[in-house]
Amino acid sequence: MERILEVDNLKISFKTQLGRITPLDGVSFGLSKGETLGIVGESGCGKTITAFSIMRLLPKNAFLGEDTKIAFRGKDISTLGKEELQKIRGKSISMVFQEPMTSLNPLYTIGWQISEVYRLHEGLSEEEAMTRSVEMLRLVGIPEPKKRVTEFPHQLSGGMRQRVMIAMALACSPELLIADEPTTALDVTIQAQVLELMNELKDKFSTATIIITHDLGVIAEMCDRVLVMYAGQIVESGDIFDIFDNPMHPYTKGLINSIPKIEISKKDQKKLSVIKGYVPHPSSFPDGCRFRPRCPMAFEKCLEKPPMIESESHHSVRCWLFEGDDM
Amino acid sequence: MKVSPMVEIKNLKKWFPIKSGFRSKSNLKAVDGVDLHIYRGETLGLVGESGCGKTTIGRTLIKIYQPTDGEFLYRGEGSSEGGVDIFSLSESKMRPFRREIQMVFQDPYASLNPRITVHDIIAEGLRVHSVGKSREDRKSMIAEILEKVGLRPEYMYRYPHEFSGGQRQRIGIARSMILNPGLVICDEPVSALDVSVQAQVINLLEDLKHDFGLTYLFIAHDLAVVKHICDRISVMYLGKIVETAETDELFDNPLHPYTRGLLSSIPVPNPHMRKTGKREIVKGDIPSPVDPPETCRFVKRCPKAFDRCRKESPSLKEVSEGHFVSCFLYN
Amino acid sequence: MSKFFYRRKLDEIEDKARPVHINSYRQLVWAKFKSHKLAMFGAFVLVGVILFTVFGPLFVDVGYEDMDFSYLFSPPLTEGHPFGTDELGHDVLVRVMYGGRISLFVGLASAVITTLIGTVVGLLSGFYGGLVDRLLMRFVDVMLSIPMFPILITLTLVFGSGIMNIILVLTVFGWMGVSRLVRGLVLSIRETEYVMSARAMGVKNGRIILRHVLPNVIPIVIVSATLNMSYAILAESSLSYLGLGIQPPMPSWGNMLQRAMNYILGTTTGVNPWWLTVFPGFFIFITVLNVNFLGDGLRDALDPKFVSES
Repeated sequence: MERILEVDNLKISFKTQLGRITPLDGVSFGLSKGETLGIVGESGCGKTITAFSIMRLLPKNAFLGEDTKIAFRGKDISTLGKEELQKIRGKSISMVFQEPMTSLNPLYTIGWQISEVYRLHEGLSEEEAMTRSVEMLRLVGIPEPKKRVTEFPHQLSGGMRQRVMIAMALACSPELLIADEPTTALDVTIQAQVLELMNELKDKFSTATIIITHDLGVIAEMCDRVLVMYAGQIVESGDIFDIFDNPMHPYTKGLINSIPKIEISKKDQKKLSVIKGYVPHPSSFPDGCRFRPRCPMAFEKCLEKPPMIESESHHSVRCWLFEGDDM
Repeated sequence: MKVSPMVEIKNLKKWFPIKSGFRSKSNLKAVDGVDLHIYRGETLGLVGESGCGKTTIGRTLIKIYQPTDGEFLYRGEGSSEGGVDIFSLSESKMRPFRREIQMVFQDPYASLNPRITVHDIIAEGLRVHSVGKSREDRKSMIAEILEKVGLRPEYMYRYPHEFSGGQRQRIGIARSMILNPGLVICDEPVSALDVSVQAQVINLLEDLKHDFGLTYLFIAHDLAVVKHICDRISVMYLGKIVETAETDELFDNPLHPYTRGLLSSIPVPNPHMRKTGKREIVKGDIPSPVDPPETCRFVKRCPKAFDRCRKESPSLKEVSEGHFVSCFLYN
Repeated sequence: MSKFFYRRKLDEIEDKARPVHINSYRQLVWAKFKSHKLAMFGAFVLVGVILFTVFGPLFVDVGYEDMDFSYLFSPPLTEGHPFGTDELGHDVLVRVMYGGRISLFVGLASAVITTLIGTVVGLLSGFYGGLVDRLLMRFVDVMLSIPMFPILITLTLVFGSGIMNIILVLTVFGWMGVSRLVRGLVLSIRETEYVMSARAMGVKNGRIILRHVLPNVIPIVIVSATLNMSYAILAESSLSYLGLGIQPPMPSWGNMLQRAMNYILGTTTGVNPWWLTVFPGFFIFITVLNVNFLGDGLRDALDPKFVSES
């Protein structure tokens, strides 16, 4: 299986008025063709920055760490210039964003916006691009696509707009698709439609996909592998079934146990277990293990930074509890 | 159930007139004929997607919006058997009920006035309802309620911006609970919070309900949370209730096609229970609540629609004990 | 490997959750203001100008009407006249100081009064809505369509000119902008959940306006007031320049400019008295500029999303 993406020691720092903040501190992961990777975590864990930094959609005051390497299909893209990056964005690596209300330009028609991708990356004429756009809209399940291409974003519902975004992202059959909270802003029934669509298209185009979300249900539904992030680091990673059946990191366990279980009847519902305390702000991450202040299992070794400890089945954990264990 | 319900809502309607042209006859029918009962000591869940009207119901009950039609019978602690129609009360007569019926709001960042201290935020209710004999008395009441919601009493002199989302939500809860209410309307109280913080607040709400003997109307869109905390659930669609049942009954035996589609859409946090490819997907988009047709509201998206559905609008009927559905399939 | 529990107090966790070590809202605002260098600079300069105009005359024993016949049209730095003199021998420095008092007073007074009127109108309009709103806003529209200058000219002809008249005209025609601004703010504040919560609690309308709406409106209003002040100073200058405002011998920065223009363009005397325009003009300029800086700083300081250097 071809390795589509290999991220090594991704570090992002910001120069702000509060000083230098490093919200992302040494994230490493990889993705093969056709695989779907989920990145899950709460707000402030750095998952969105991770996604944006692959395509380097970062603000001016952000900069990558020195040892950071991002390899796309074997080539290092972390040092590419603007022009080279523009050739990749939208063509080989595309992104679907969270807010369907604001990620489409309200001043241009749907058709114009999708065909822009074709005109830019495949050099097609306006007519050809429009034909392909109509087809793409049909593919993503938008009824009456010929009529829709002349409409403006405000005439479409949230679910429709998200489908349009997906159409734009998949227009040039990218090798890698990054979806940042693609269904968070949608209602449940619409979310189901979009998730089913994404699954279909994923299989059809065999696109490697990264799904970023805080919703463990979406992760369980869509992903092959998962990264659990906390305070700018990966604290656990592994196969989807491993993570849910056998969570190792106390944070992962705490997270899974704090969600109400919809599969259990009301009679059997138990009191939710709680992770005490609050998510730390990036300007004041704790020393040593960042989860230590909230961890029910913390002990004195936790004052040192734990490394990522890996097992044979590629189930890794960043926690001293597993040091030296045979896994 | 032979006991009279604490809350009886009959034919509640809330329409928002829309100006289109010189003579506006258009109405956004956010709530269009809703019947609800809430029994003392229970938690009734009100669920639905955007535009279903659940938030509007909450706000109308507390008279932030004036109801277009309907009755809201409330049997409080000292109320007469027949209950009082809150909607028919004048603002001054309503005053004591504003203490008994409280609301917890959704957005922790917008539900607290950023310019005043936590103490003043919580004390406002005490002052309006003349609770507490003196300043010192009120201060100690505030300290007590802060501890009860899991915050330190010293925090009362801080400002909202110094707190995290979860803490702010606790302050909002403290503000309501200090008045010892009978009915608490929770309007999406945990939707804006992180997952790990949601659990804290959900547990807090349950503890407070138990300690104070409260009754909750729990408005939410997250069905897992609703299943956890609610005894009975009403499902809303486009301004009407489509199904009401006890929690387990609703999940085990959903009757209305919308309820079935809704439950089927929820992704479960368990990879062994994937539904992809096996769902009863609800097709199409959520229609607009402006001037809806007088047919079944769900007809355009319903996989089981037939002729009658396109001509009339069904009403809520009891199909089995405690299980109500509004659908011609069961008529 | 022995593992024992290492518990940390909840306080430390919660303290870590607070990124800024500032207590009250006011302190936070002040800290943010201090970090805005232009605003601090502006504040200093303005304080300097105010001190100059208010206390300056105490240090000079010349009045603004005193004519020094030995030095007519003298350039700056002639003896006894650091800023020079005009065609009647008046000392420019002293006139700038007294003129400053007038201009600043007019500016401040009109800013305060227009802000008060505009805020009250905007509050009532935005909060109560309905008929009140419609009537008030139509009234605003009417006022906005009345041309200021013809009215001003008429008033001047009828009542004579003077400080009070200028202030009257500036305030009567200046409050509308503030009222629209405040109305918009009040409309959005009215829909916030904390206002809803107060209404649900049974708080009376008057108290809601005073406790919840007004404090959240005031910061923006303050900023608008500073801008209004700079506009008023410039307007006064223009009006005086047109001969409609303060009349000589009482100086104002505006009428000093007006008098000077007679001599700048016509070189009847063969002298080009640049100092007669430069000094009053300069003071108008730095006053208005720094009031604007101050307004910028206040606006940023009061904006909850603006993060200061700590």
